Amino acid sequence: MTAFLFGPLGYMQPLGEVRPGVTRAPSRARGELVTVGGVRYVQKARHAPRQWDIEYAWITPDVVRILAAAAQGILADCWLYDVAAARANMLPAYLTAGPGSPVLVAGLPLGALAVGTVATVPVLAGRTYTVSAWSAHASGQAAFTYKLGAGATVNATAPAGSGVRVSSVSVIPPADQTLTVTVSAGAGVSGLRVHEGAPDGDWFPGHGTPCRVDVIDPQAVLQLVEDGHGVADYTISLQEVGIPGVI
Amino acid sequence: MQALPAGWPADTAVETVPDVVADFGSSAPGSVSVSEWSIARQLTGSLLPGQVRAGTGFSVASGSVGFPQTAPPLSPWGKGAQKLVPGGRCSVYATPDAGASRLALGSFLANQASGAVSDPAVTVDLIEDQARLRKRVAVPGLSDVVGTIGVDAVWLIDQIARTGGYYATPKPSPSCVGSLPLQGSVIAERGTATLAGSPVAGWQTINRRVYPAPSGSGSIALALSPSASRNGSLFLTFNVSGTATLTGGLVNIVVDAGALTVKAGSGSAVTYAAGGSAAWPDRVQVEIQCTLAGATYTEVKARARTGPAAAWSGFSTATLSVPADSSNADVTAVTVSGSSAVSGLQVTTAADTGLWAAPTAMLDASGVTLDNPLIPADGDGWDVIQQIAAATLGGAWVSEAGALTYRARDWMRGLGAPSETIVSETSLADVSWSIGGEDVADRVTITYQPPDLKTVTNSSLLIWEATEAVAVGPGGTVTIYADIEGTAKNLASWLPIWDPTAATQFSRWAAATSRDGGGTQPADTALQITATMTGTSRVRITITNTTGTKLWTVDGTGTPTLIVRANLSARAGETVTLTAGAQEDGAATPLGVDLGAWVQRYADAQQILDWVWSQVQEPRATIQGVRVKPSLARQLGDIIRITDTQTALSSKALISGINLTGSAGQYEQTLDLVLLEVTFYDASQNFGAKTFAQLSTDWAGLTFAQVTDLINSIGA
Repeated sequence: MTAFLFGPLGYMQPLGEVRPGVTRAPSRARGELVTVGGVRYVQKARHAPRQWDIEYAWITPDVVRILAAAAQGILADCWLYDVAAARANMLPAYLTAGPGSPVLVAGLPLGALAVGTVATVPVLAGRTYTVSAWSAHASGQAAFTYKLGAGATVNATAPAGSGVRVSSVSVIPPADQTLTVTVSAGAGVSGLRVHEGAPDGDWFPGHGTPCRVDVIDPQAVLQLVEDGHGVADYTISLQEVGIPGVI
Repeated sequence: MQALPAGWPADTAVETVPDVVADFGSSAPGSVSVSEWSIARQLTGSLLPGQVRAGTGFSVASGSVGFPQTAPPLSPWGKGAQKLVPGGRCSVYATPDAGASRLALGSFLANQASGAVSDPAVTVDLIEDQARLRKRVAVPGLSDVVGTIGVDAVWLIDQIARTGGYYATPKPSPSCVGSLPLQGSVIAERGTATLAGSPVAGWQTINRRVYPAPSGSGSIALALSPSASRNGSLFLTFNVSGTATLTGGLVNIVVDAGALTVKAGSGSAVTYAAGGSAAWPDRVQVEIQCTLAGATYTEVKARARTGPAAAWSGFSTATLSVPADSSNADVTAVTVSGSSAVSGLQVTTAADTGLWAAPTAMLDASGVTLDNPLIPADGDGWDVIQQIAAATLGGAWVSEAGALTYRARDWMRGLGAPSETIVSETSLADVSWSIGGEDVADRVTITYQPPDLKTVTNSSLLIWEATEAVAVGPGGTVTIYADIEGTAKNLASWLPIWDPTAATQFSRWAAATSRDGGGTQPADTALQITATMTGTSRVRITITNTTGTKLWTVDGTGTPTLIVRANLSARAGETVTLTAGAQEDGAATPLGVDLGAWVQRYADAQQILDWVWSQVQEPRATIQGVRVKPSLARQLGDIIRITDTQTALSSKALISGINLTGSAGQYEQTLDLVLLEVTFYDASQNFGAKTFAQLSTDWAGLTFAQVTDLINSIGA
């Protein structure tokens, strides 16, 4: 099992032999105003693009082939699939909760999403994905719909019970494709989550993965050249680019 | 304050910055989220020194946006969608939710674009889009003014705005048979208005819209064109403050905007619901129906609503018995009477949605009465509006949402309630002030030009004389335009120069078959000439040759001969000068203010002089460029209250400049403020009508400090 997959959508490859200690650093632009009376106000950007610094030790160039090609610009539109993030919540933050009245999602008061909010995430073949959302809908009322690729739209209904409950469905995509989730009519749906794994009745903040990234050219420290390829240490930075949630 | 759109996040200490989008429409690069942006609005062009307790003049917004390069990159030599050309329209708006709710920041033209191959961003400089106001304007002169009242200067602004597509009241809708905007004059836009008595005492501003100030007597009759059949519904849509009495012929319809009732004649009043239109909170639509039984009208029913999709009230029904005959088969006129303040009246035969079109001009009554609007024949609309704004000490600008805004001098010097209180401790990064003696004057001179009005009854006022001969081919027609000085009314009919009537009367022509005047004298009917006013200062002369030979408009000696005369002429007259302060030879720092022909009455000029003089006798502080906790709802011309406990400042202030700059994850707002201290004028406006005994009752038990607070918060 690798922690990262990388490549153009449909052609993602696992990044193997990555050394432990990968840093995932978000940078959120912000502004500050301190008044004459010492009151501080903060402005923050909606999105916080991340940077991953990945290190390799004593590897041959075939391991970083795809990253080097992407850095050179000959491999267009590359995405990074962060498995740890995908197991939490694959949606970008702004699609997990909305501006509406708060709904108690796993104990947190999150604003309800606008009816008709659409979230689309690329998913990988053969893995189990779970879509879940929280609402106080009546049993059997659709909380959201989902579809794989251009497939049929399926309703996900609220389970039996009362109060705010989580509705979840699991799918296993037969091929690399997109999973589209649409919030159904009936206000008060929040805590939208798509994650890799089985339903767990929990909610985690969105990470926005996979995301479009730009690769900064690998820094190499040559260690050994014998027969065959040279062996080197690599440090590679991947920066998130583009609008999260837009494919 | 600009109203924030629905869904806009509440004001919090931690703000997620909205996206700012520059929409270039169909030109490259289309609609883009910007990375860097700035927009500046500032009142400039004032006739007054900077310290005067008002912002006046006009504002032209400017700005710039920077956005990421596309792939392939945009360039001036790009192909198709990659070609970046300046000059296109660009509207800038902020959105917290990817475009679902939008707050306009301005409408601009892309002035200059710059970039570099190595630069990941393109920068476009923006200037305000005023193309629609840049047309040459032709406003009808005195010829259409009915009654004896002068027009308010805002009428000129309204007329220019309408030519440019900015409407303070909705434009005539498709089924309109009569339109009476009542924006500073009683001239009808469609149909003909006539006054009975003096129904209009002046002009006033209510909720930032212009209304006539009713005198309480007399009425305005709007003759419909064409008249409307009484068998169908008739819709009257108008802005109303107070109680309006209108009649479509058979009975009075009374609309009480305070009690929200409508009543037809002897019927009982029925209530209607308010708040049907966000754009027009004071607008009401009344539908009138007549019931015809045989040859008798037996009922007049009226109902009302307040929006294009609002529910109608029930019917108020007046029973009557009026024989239906040819004299009352049609509604020929709608009359507005009584003490009602009604404006923007349209009479229609259908409930067109255009009757509720949101206003694109927000005007105030200027408080300056013009006896004779004189617009230079080559004036461009925005220039004229700027001149009027400066001379009336008002302010004019195009708002963020693209509405032409004119604020009168009463507003610009603070006679309005503050829209918010800015407390320095919690909202300002600093309070920087400056005070100096350079704007102090010891003598103020105001000059203005009242019109020189001449009237005769024998068509003897010379308006224009041709200086060049016009050739008219056999059977041909030639139209020429003559630019005259001032304006004229009641142009005289045409006679040949050799007619025996007194030579100094009537418009005259002469004709000859050769350019130098030779040949036989043509017949008296050889040329048929008509002249009409097509603008304030422009006459259209149409000359038709009824003979079979080419004719020149010259007399027997070859002198060009076309003379236009009229019964009324008005020109800018002699300049009148009013002064206050030191004698001319003893004044060290005189201030001259030329109001030109835009102020025409002594009382208006004297009021302006008094006020300017009160403002320049001692140095006053200004506050420039203070950084404030930003709010995109703030607008130029807003009146706010600013308080600072450290310096014991508590004053109303006018936002005379507003600068916005933004970059990744932040935006800053800085304001220029004009402090509006309470003056004796304000106090007299508030307490002037009271006796000391009444004030003593009102203020019983208050300490001096409390009374001071009371005075300081006038208008708050």
